[in-house]
Amino acid sequence: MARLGIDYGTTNTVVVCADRGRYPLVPQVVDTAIGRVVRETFPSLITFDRLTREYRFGAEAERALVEPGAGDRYIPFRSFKRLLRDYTDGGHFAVDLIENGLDIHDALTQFAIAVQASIRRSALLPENEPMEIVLTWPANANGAQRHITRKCFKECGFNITATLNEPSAAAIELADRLVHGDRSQARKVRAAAAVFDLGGGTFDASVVKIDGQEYTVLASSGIERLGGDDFDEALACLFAERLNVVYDGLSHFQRTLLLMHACREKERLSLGTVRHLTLDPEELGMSGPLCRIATSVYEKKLADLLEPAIDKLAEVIKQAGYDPSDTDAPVLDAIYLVGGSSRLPLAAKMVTRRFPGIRVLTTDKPFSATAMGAAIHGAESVRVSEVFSRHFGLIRLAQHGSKEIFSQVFAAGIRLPERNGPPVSCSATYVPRHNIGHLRFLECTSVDSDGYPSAGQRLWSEIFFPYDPAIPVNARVTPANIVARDDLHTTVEETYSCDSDGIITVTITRHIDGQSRTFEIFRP
Amino acid sequence: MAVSKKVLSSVSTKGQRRARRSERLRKTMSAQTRRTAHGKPAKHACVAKQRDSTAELAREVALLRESLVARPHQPAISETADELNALRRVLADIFESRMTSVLQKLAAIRQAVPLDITEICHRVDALLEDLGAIPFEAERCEHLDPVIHEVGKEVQDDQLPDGVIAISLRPGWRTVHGQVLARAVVSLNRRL
Repeated sequence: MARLGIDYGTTNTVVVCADRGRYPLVPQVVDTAIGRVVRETFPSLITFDRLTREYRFGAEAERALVEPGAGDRYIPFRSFKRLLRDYTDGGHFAVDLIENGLDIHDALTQFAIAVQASIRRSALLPENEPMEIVLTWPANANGAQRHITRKCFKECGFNITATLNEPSAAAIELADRLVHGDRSQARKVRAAAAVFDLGGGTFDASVVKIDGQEYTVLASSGIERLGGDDFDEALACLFAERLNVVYDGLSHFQRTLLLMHACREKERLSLGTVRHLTLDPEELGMSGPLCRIATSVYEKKLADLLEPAIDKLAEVIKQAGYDPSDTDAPVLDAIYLVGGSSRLPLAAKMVTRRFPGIRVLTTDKPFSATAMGAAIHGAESVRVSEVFSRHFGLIRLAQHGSKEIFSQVFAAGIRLPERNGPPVSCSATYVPRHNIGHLRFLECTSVDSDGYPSAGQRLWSEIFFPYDPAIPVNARVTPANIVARDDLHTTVEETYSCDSDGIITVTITRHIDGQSRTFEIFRP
Repeated sequence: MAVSKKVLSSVSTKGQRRARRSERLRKTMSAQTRRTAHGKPAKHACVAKQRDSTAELAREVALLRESLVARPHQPAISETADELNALRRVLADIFESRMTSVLQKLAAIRQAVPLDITEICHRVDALLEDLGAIPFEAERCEHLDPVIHEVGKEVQDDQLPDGVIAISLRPGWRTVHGQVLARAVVSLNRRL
């Protein structure tokens, strides 16, 4: 039985295994002309071959992009994970690039199979060796993303024993780091730390209280679309500007190549001595002199992008009761910077400037910290108490249908149940005024002072439920079938439950005949 | 001169001492031989000596037994060895991860140094090799592999197929475990 921690990231997927009290990274073996080489990460890049209608993943996908004539043959998807936020059952992507698009569920399952095959090859595991994994996802990932990720990794044969939010996993690794990897000491660490997790696609901030083997998330929030991809895009736009081309006017293939080049150039910044970032236009099949961007110009753009992340961190710290401006409030022991983008020197500089009294630690394992925390969680009796990091509710009509209001069902900050424990649930009973209920659910990362969703909104698939006992509960109904009815003389009960993975289901029961239906609410 | 005299005198003293010691040894040996030849006195002496040593051994065994009973449980040798091995593995892990991190930074610096500054290039190469990194070159006409190659520039050579390596510009570097520290920089052939 192999016990693994898997961090499925936007840019890279990292696997760490538990091996007799140690947590080494599972290297990804690639056969090359110079023999077998190993990499720390499995690139999350997916390439679709128009000719064979097959996918390529990881290093194979990277190789496909440099083949002659690759632009006509392959469609690359660099940040596939970002598409999962808008997943609906049977959802497709790349509809503008290929006829009928591609099935998200199929692509992710095949990706998980490729990761599994790579682990077996690299860790020399036999074909029938079961793999127990702890899977991580962004703290602010919505229910759809959690559902589809869990489903695909389970379907490909992984036995998922637990799931963790990425910053919580990083906090487990932080405890290990504070005692230099001495696990017996790590089990005694007591500290409170804020995790600043800036990855390839998302930003998460969490304040975690560490008390030995107990990890309690005090507050958590994030920004759905902020990460290395956005920093790459900012640099790619600067390059395009210098080349006098419109970035959006480039083909999908050229854009991907430009973004991959921008990503490599950005990574050079972590050396700290780079003055210019360069691009040879020939790489994009264009002519012209070498394009140079001063690091200071790019850093100005980066600062604008990083500012909201630091504001969010301040908000989370305050929410957890560790407000640095309040002299009576307890002081945080550390702010821990993790994720691939935390290697940018500017990120650490800006965090230090904003929180001068708190020790800022940058991870020495920017790619593997989260996976390592997950592996520790899977192998040892670590208990993590998570919070629901989004707001979930229903859009209802008020003032006789003239105004829409957001009625919250689960607010951000409620404590999630323990694994295999009973779910958090709540219910509401009402008298219906129509023959069919039209329910519109919404998730968001924050709400304004009036209680309206203000950021990270995600409207779920609409649900139609017949209140009229004459219509079977499974009948396919449309908005055209809805009519006002005051003569139903029944009550309807909606029961919401949220499991330990933060996935919400709703059960609607019409009391008149006791018929009910359960929805994982992003399903149509 | 004084020094050499002193050395000479010390040599002669050593020689004299050695001679005296061997003379004493010879005399003792001959006395023992004489006693053994006569029989009894030597036998009695041996038995008495044996008795003494047996009693001493018995005393030592009793003492050891007492100390073993009094002492708390000591880990078996295998347990201690396991702990030592675990410690060795942890230390090796720390050393390896730190070393890889240093090598990665050094290799990145090596790739950033302009080729015409040969002195620095040679020094960094030597440092990398001293630390255990292994250089590798890209072969001409080889297909471009982004895992180990990085395109430095593009050329147009009609005698070479499209998308293959025309020239290797800089060597790549890898660790003994096969981790690529820096990819080899190549010039790629593009046929229009």
